[in-house]
Amino acid sequence: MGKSSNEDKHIEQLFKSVNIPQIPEQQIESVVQMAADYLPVERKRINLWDIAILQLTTTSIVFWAACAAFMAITILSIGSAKSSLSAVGIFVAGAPVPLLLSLLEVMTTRNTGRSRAGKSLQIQCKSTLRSKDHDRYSVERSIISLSHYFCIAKLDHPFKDVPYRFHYDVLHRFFGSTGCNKIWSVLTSNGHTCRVDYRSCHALRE
Amino acid sequence: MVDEIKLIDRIKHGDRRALDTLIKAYYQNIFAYFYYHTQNREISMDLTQEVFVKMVASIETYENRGKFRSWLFTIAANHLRNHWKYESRHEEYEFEEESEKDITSSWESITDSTELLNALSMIPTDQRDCIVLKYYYGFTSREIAEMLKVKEPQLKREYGTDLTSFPYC
Repeated sequence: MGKSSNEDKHIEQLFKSVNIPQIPEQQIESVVQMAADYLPVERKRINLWDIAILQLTTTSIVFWAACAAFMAITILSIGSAKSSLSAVGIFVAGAPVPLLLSLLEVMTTRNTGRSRAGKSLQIQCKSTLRSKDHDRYSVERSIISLSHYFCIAKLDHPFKDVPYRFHYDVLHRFFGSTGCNKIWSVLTSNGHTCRVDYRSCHALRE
Repeated sequence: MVDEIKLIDRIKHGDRRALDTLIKAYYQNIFAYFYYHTQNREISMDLTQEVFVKMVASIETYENRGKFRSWLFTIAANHLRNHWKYESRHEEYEFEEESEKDITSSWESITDSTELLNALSMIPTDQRDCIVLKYYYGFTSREIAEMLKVKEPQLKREYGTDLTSFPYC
């Protein structure tokens, strides 16, 4: 061990004693200049929303039609349900459908050209996939939320008013006072009696 | 280390200044590596330049796993092998065979840099690689094995546990 250690030190000393020529700064500069030609191209930073809109327009029309049909069937079924139990049943049974539709759409439209398109457009492939996921989740959430909204109206429980008040606030925030009142009137006139008047609800919020 | 990661990240985004800093930091190291092998200033400069071009061209494949220095030396080692292969520089092997008897039997008998360079020129490229990487750059046997794409036990078996025993001594 001692011999080996001494030998190691001896060899290291020998290496240190070698006079390696120093290369002038200009020579190194020229190497930098040559290597710079091979630098990766700066990727464009595109807003995720822009890519999401692009994906929305390129998604199959069949998918949107299926989503719309499912949405209509669910709302009609829940609306015409005779008991709160059956409304909940429809809601529970229909909840996985948007996810299945999305998966089906992703599986059927998967192609190898996407990564190439990503490269040619200089948009990272990950971004396009992420935006596609983003779209799927948005659609799923919208369908589930609306189904939930109509389903909750069917339920008879002490907290029935809470979702209305919450949804009223959300609508008010997005559509303003007039728009919100109009939408609220349409939603509450469809056979559902709102227990809390929207004006008093608005007053409460104020 | 953190700064190096940032530099590489900037290079991946096409930053020329970061490239300038990185090349200046490693140029002399890579040059010395080739100089120990070729003992020729011009050839070493050419090989160094080619290694940096290769590094930049493949920088996007580097994933901050392991040391950047090891990754760069792996490129250099591969490039050197290709250089020997394509430039048909096999004189050293012919020379080895002819002058086996003249080769130094122990490191202790080498006393100066000229003798060291002579001894290095007489041993096979892979073994020379191991010795230079270990004693000049301080890489571990494991790192050297990864760079040369051989198993660590194989490396130790072929070149001795301390990488210094000449196979024909």
